Parts: sequence; structure tokens; C-alpha cells
Amino acid sequence: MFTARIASRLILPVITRRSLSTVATRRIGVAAVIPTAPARLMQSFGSIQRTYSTQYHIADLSPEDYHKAADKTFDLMVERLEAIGDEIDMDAYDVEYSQGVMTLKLGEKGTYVLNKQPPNRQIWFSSPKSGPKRFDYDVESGKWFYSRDNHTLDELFNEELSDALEQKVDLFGEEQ
Amino acid sequence: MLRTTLLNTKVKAKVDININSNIGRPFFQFRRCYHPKVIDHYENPRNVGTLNKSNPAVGTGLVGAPACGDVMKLQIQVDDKTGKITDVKFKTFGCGSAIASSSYMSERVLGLSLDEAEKIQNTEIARELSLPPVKLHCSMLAEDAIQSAIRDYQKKRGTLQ
Repeated sequence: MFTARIASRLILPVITRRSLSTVATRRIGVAAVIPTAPARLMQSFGSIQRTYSTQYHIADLSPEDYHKAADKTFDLMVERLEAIGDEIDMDAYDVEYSQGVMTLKLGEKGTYVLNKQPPNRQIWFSSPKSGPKRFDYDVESGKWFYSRDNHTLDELFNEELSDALEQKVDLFGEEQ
Repeated sequence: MLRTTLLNTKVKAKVDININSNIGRPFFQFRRCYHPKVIDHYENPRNVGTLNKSNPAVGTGLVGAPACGDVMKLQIQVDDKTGKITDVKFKTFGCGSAIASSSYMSERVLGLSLDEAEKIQNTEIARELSLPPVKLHCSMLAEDAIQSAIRDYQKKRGTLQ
């Protein structure tokens, strides 16, 4: 059970031989959040430099609220992506969602992996086009946004999917 | 490859790192297999260690959180006159890809100027180590680590913009 996030000094880690597993299993005492490098507006992956005018704020979510918000987002995405999968004619298209990890395969266009990151109250996003991003939750707007340049998960994902699937994709809009 | 040897009616099985389902597959389709470059960095990490944090010529970057599973500490020693990185040491707590990313990063920045080191992108690390989608975050963390180390050095020298 996580209490409020504590920013405390980290006990310096030593290099450890981790088992060759993709799942992090080690937990050390209290969750300490180390601030990462200061915000930069330039996206690392793409060559486009974007600035977004809407200012979002990172919410201080309780674990229950975080899971509720994240689960809602994931359920909506999975539902819409499965519907898209039924409509389009792409053999390699595959959507999988289990244990908080969503994998979207688009064949040659690459694989998207989205997962919940409860310690940070974030959604982690990995795109074959624009690389890795971490999204925080803004309670007022109910959106997940990237703190370095303020653009939202729905904008980014919709845009990239629309490009990749060559049709207008809106995973988060109202049902028609 | 499963190799079995019969020794006095006891069966000894040795399991190789390439599991059965990978035989005959092209490399990029391997199931649950780390790229040889990642394994190399994991088993022979370059530049592991610590530099003296209180040395004014040393910048320390510490990124990540143990709860997330990855923490990287990257330290650079910079020569004041030339502005180049003369020594690098790192220590990483995390998965094989995180260790490989930081090990590769430490190798990469050695001998570079601060400006050049700042420009290294996570894409380069991801491409070099053939990181799968779920591990791209490790390369991003390595990029954050060198940025953090450079900023720490600049703060110490009073040249932070």
C-alpha cells in the first residue's frame, strides 16, 4: 500500500546480476522517486519539434484513483482497437491486453506497448515511431499527458494510428 | 538445444540459452531472447564503478526509481581545459536492457565533449542494442542519466544555463 510519494535520498545502488527476466521483481523498502532530467520541449525520436499550449498538471492520485483512471483508459482503448481490428483488413493486426499491459501489433509498422506503472502513477507508452513516453494524469481534464511537452495520450496515439492504418482513428472520442 | 548425456544411467540435461522454439527462426523473431549485444554488455559491463562525488570535475547523474525497477547512476569526469569527458563510471540496478543501455552509454560518451554527449539520443542506444518495444524506456533512462550528469557538472562549475 503506497502512502504519499516520498522524495527522499536514494541509497546508492550497487550493480546486481539480475535474472534475465523482463519483469522487475525486486522491491526495496519505501518507494523513492528520483526527479529525472529537466523538461525539454524537443521530442527525442521524431524530427518534429512540438509545443502544446494547454497546460496540464500532474495530479497526486491515490492508488485506487490511479487504477480506476488507468483501467478505464485501457478498457476503452482495447475495446476500440478490437473494433478496428474487426473492420480493417490487416492480417498482422493483433491486440492483446493482460495484467495491465497492452500490446498492439501492426505487422511491419511495428508494435506498440502500453503499460500501467503504478509506482509513478503513469501510463508508459512505447511507439515504433516516436519511441518511449511516460504519461501522467491530469484530474481536471481527465487526460493523460506527457509532462515534457504537454501533449496528451489520445492526441499522440490517434495521430500515429491514423498514419499507420491510413484511416481516421479516434480511440477516445464519443461513440458514433 | 537440449543436450543430454548418459552417465551411469543418470541423465544429465544441459539447457542452452537458445530454447527449442528458436531453431530455424530468423533472429528478429526469437521468442524471449535477449540480443547478443545486450547479453555481452550484461556479462561484460564496461566502466562499472564510482568516481568521487565531491570532486568538482565530476558530474553525477542519478535517474530512475527502485519501485519502477530501474535506477541508473552515471558519473563523468570532465577535463576543465578541453571540456572533454576523460572518465566515466556507472552503476545500474535493473534489467539486462537497462544495464546494457547504461553500459553502452558509458562507452559512447568517453572522450566526447559535453555538447556532443548531450546530443546522444535514446534512438541510437535502442538501435544499437536492438531493444524490443517494451525496453525502449531503458534507453530513454540512459539518455536522461547522461543529461543529468552533464547538468550536475555544469551546476558545480556554475555554467548551468
